[in-house]
Amino acid sequence: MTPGRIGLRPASYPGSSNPVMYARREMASPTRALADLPDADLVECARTGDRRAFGELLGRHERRVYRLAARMCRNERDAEEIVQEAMLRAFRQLDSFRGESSFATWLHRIVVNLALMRRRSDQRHPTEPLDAALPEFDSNGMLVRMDADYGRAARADELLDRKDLNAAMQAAMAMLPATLHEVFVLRDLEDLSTDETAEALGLSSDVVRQRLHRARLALRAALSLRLGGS
Amino acid sequence: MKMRGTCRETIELLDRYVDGTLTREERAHLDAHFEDCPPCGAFLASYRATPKLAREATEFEMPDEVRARLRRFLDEEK
Repeated sequence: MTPGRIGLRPASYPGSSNPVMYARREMASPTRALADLPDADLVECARTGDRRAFGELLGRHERRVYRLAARMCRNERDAEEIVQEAMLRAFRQLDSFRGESSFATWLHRIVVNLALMRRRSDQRHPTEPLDAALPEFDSNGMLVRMDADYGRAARADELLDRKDLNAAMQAAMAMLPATLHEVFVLRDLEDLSTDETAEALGLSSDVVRQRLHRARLALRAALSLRLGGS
Repeated sequence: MKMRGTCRETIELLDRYVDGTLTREERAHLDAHFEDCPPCGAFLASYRATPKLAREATEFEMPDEVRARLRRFLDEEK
């Protein structure tokens, strides 16, 4: 691809002191030139039907999107289908991308929405509340079993090898009700803000905070039990 | 010495303590409780560690064969 053919020129000429040098290098190595373009320019190229530009976008984002889908779905088999559907939608709906958010954010939303649709039609995940996993207090509001080693879960990475620890945490996450799990994934694993998580899930910020807290408490308790503490 | 605040109050506010959204007064109140109550201090440490451990447990790597299938799928469907 040459920028001139599709009417685009980068605002700067990465790795070159002037546009002539940039163009020469680009003609010698078109793949390298695509790699230099920001996402917004690649989207413009892909809109005109440039498949290599979309391929570059795919290469940049597929790993992150796959991880997000696997986290949301709690398994990698469903994640593969979500990623395929998400990337196809992204390609077909590029004209609806207005650039108000980054391409990464737009793609992230597509994946989250697909994962939520799948989760809502899937009854495999637990829906029961997790009261048994929440801390217990005596009549004075003090933790029951004050002598318990509450710190074991904080030292989980010292007490278990990485493989066992990951398996224990994945098992704990599998037990979370979907309503808590999706908040935990977006807020704590994907680092969305409380407001962004609320918007993605159609919830109020207060509900996001409450569910996040319950999810953290439940996971902490599950991991602690796995380690033989409280 | 009388313990400052209860464990219940403290744990109800842990999320806001960790996320840094408590007022200075609320934060000082919880800090005082942690000083008096080692189990709550340990509970806080494990509560804080949980997201990090979960993140590390779910660093799913996209397998090469999945990448290849994705490209074949898009080539056929686009």
